[in-house]
Parts: sequence; C-alpha cells; structure tokens
Amino acid sequence: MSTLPIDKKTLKRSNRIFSKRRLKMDYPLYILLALPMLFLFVFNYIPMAGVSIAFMKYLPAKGIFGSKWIGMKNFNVLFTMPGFWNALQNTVTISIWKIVLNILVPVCFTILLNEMGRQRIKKTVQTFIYLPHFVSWVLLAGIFAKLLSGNGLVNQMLGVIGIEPIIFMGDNKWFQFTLIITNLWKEFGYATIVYLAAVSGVNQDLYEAAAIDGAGHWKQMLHVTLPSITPTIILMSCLAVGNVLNAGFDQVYNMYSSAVYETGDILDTLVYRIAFGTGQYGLSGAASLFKSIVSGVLIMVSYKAAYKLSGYHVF
Amino acid sequence: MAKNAIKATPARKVFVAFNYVFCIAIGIICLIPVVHILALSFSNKYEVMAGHVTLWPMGFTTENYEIVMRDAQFFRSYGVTILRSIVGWAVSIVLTVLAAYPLAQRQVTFPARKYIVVYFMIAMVFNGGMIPTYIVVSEVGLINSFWALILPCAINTYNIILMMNFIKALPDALQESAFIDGANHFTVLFKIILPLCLPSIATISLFIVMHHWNAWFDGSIYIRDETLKPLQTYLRSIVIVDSSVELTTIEEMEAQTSADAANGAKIFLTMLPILCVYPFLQKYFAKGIVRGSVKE
Repeated sequence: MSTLPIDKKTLKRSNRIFSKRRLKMDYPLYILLALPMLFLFVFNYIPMAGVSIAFMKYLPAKGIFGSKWIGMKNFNVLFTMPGFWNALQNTVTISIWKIVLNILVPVCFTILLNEMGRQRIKKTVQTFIYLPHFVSWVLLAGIFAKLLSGNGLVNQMLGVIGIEPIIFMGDNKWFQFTLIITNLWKEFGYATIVYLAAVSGVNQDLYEAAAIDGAGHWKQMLHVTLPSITPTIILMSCLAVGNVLNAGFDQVYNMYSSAVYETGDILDTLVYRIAFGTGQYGLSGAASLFKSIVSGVLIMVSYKAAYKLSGYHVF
Repeated sequence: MAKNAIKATPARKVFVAFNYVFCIAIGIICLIPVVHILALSFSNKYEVMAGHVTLWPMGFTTENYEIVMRDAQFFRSYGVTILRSIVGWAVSIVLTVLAAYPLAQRQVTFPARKYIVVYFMIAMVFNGGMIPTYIVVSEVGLINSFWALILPCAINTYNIILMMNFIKALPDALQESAFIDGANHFTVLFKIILPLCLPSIATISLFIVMHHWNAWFDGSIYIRDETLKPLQTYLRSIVIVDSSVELTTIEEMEAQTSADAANGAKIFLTMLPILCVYPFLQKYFAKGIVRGSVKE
C-alpha cells in the first residue's frame, strides 16, 4: 500500500471514520464492541456520575434524584476529620513501603535465581514462591492470625532466641510492619516473573564476551544481568506510581481491628466504614471521590512516565 | 553455559552453595503457612488451642474434616463459588474477546479505534468507587442476586489489553488474505483469530477463575441470602473472628475451640483446588503476565 502514490486528500477521505464505505467495512467491529462498551457504561461510567453523592446529603430511601444537594459540605467535614488525615498518611506510608520493597526484593531474588545452575531446583523454587499470590487475603488473614498470635508459630520461634512475644496484628507499633512484610511475602515471588523473563531474554553471547574480557561472575552480574533488567525496573517503577493511594483494601480490611485503626486505617477502609458503618454515604462518597481523582491523576502520570522512559503503550 | 567457562574460585563455590540454601529456604518460607494450616486441620482441637501444632499434626485426627462434612453451609458456598467461577468465566471471556479483537485493529484499518481506546482508558483510570457502584448494582436490581457476583466484575481492562496485544502480535497477513478472499470481520475473528488465541485465552481464563475463586467483597455487600454467599465470604464470616464477643460459659469456649480447629480444615479445602491446578498452569500465567506486564 505504502508504495502507491496517494495524495493527502484521498488519504484523509479514506481515514474519515463515518464515511459510508468505512461503516460498511467496520460495522462488524462496532457490533462486537457494543456489549463490552455497554458493560463499561453501566458498571464504570454510571458510577462515575454517581460520585455526585459526594455533594449531597445522600439518603438511600430518597435515591440520587431525591437527595438534597449540599455543595462542598461533605468535603469540609472530611478535611477537618482527624481520621481522614491519619488514614491518608497511613495509606501513603504503607503503599510506598510496599512499592519499594516489591521492586527491590524481586529484583534481588531474580539475580540470585539466575545464579542457580540446576534448572530443576530453580523451577521448583519458582513454583513455591508463586503460590501465595493465588491465595486470597481472607484465607491468609485467617492463617496469619494464628501464625502471628501471642502463642503462634512465629512467636514460638522468636522465643527460642529469647525475644518476648510480639502482638503483630494488634499492636500499633507493629501493625504496619506486619502489613508490609506479609504483603511482600505474598507478592514478591509473583513479581519476579517479569524480571526473570527479562533475564532469560539476554543473549548468552554477552556473558561469553564478558568472560573473555576477564569479567568474573560478579562483574557479569553487574554489567550484563543487571542492565538487562533495568528497563523492566524502570517500567515497573513508573507503573507503581499509580498505586500510591492503593494500600491494599483486601489485606488491611481482613487483618485490622479497632485496636490498630491508628496505624492501620487506610482510605479504602475509611470509605467503607463511613458508608456501611455509619451510613454517611455522602461523606464516604467525598472521601472516595478524593481518592479517585488523586489516583486517576497519578495513574495518568505513571502511564506518561512509562511511555516517556520506556516507550510503554497501554493500548 | 558460558558462565561455567570460568574456573570456580573457592569464594564462588561458597557463594553458590549459600545461594542454593538461601533460595530453597525462601521457597520453603512461602509454603510454611500452607503446611501449617494442613497440620492444624489434622490436629486435635486441644493441641490447636494450646498452640502446640507447628508443621506437623499433633494428636492426629480426622475429626475436623468430619465437622466440615456436616457443615451444609460450607458446601452450599463451595457450590456457589464453583458456579460463579464457571458462569463468570464464560461471561468474561466472551466480553474480553469481543473487545480485544476490534481494539487490536490497526489505526489505518479502523480509524475510530483511537476514540474507542479513550473510552476504555477513562474506565481504567477513573472509577466511581465503592458506594456509587453499590448504588448502581442495587438500582439495576442485582442485590441478593447471583448475577451481582458476575456482571459488575465481568470486564477487566487488563485482560482485554493482554488479549489485544496477543492478537496484535499475530501476522497481519492472516487478516489481509482473508479479506481479499471476501471474508468480513466476523469470519476473520471466529474462524482465524480465535483458534490462534487459545494460549492467551488460557492465561486470561486462569486470571478470571482465580478472581472468582478468591472474591469475597462482592458477596459480602451485594448478597444477603446465606444460601447465595460465595465461599470466601462465608469463610471470612467464620475465620476472621470478632474478638469483641466475650466467651463466658465453658460450653461456648468448647464450641469456639472446635470451630477454630475445623476452620483449619475449611481453609485448606478452599485452597486445595488452587494448589492442585496452578503448578500446571505456571507456564501460561508466566507468559501472560509478561505480555500484559501490568496485571495487578
């Protein structure tokens, strides 16, 4: 096609979206898209309009159209609530720790796995470390409640080396640490997948060339393996920016209790408790809208950065 | 491998040995909670309560499983989860294919693509949040309906992107030659593209089924009827113990102790299908996650 001499005008016409000819060719595509787009409309777009409850004194009995508009009142209440700023701070702290560790640890572990020569053992270790990703936080919270309790397995082991029992899930001093470490345990293995893929794509000749140039194993790791996964690290870091306000509802909601609201309450759990606990749907909607907007901007920034730094296209 | 060309120094040997031990230890740490729960499920309830059980059953008994066998609610919920996994899989996979094929068209052959992409993009970046979604689900009349577990989560944009990228990677000539032979998009999709997509359908199927197997939140807010509660929602209600409830009588404590031990068996039975299936699907999701790159 590109070799044919087409002047700009014809090209423009052929690129018009709704010309008769175009529609005749494209109509099956619209038919295919209709159902998915309808689903998105109902379950994504209408709720987006539903954020208007943030500006209402929303009462379920009256519905969206019957409830009273109260302007920014919900936001005024929200921004003067100490619980909100506390939750925001917890959210950012927890998620940044999670993001940093969930890049650092998988990268290190990938490099260690890469140094294992025996493929059978390596594959088995991989199978083991992927497992926790597939288990739900409901089950894991149940298991950890036992493992981390005062007389649980972890405290028994700590007792052997003379450490007093730690109340991991009920002590404000330890709760964030517990969240971050258990999340790392659950997700680090799964996160190695992308890095392992990058490493396995390295041309083996590079190692050979490095060896001929006198590079030892350490130098090979530093100058061949690491650079090969740097683009992936950059991409993953960029994309992670969009998650700064996602501290993990599933995990926190299943692991926290009123004893650790001070350090464990995050925006999502606050939104949930305001709505379903106290029935202040408008206020909850305001908190949720705040999060959605900030998150949306962060996600766009992250996509932009991913595109600029590593040519990543979402679509 | 080329790396073996270098003679191993003693330091290297120590490192390699240490590395094996370390990596295997980390692998085992990932299994400990599963082994622990398995041990609990086969242990005597008093040993469980006393915290004697570690990685091996103490006072071996199958009593806990017998208790579970008598728990009708557990099996009803298991059934609900199996059903939602199957139906949810079917609905989601159809929607994903329907959306992925048009989006995989090149800009030149489908100029409207760029606007449709924006439509999907906005849905990906912004969301209405918990409460507005809840309001919509209830306005549509899905509260307390099985379909509340299927329809709201039927579309996952990441899965669409994953499949779209897979289709994009297929040779263009496939489509072009079919068009020259007079085929339209329907024929191309169902006769040519779809059969070639089976690997990516396998990957996405795994993600969808995992999602349904592990979902608990929708069941807890949309479903009131006990008989319709999915497994994870039911388990949450019994496993995540409400510590504010005081146990006063000996009978109550006794009941709580039995329940605690039986919960181990329930948790294990819930994990079992995943444990059985995922090692065999490893190559699919490993490939899938790399293609999709951003699967949460």
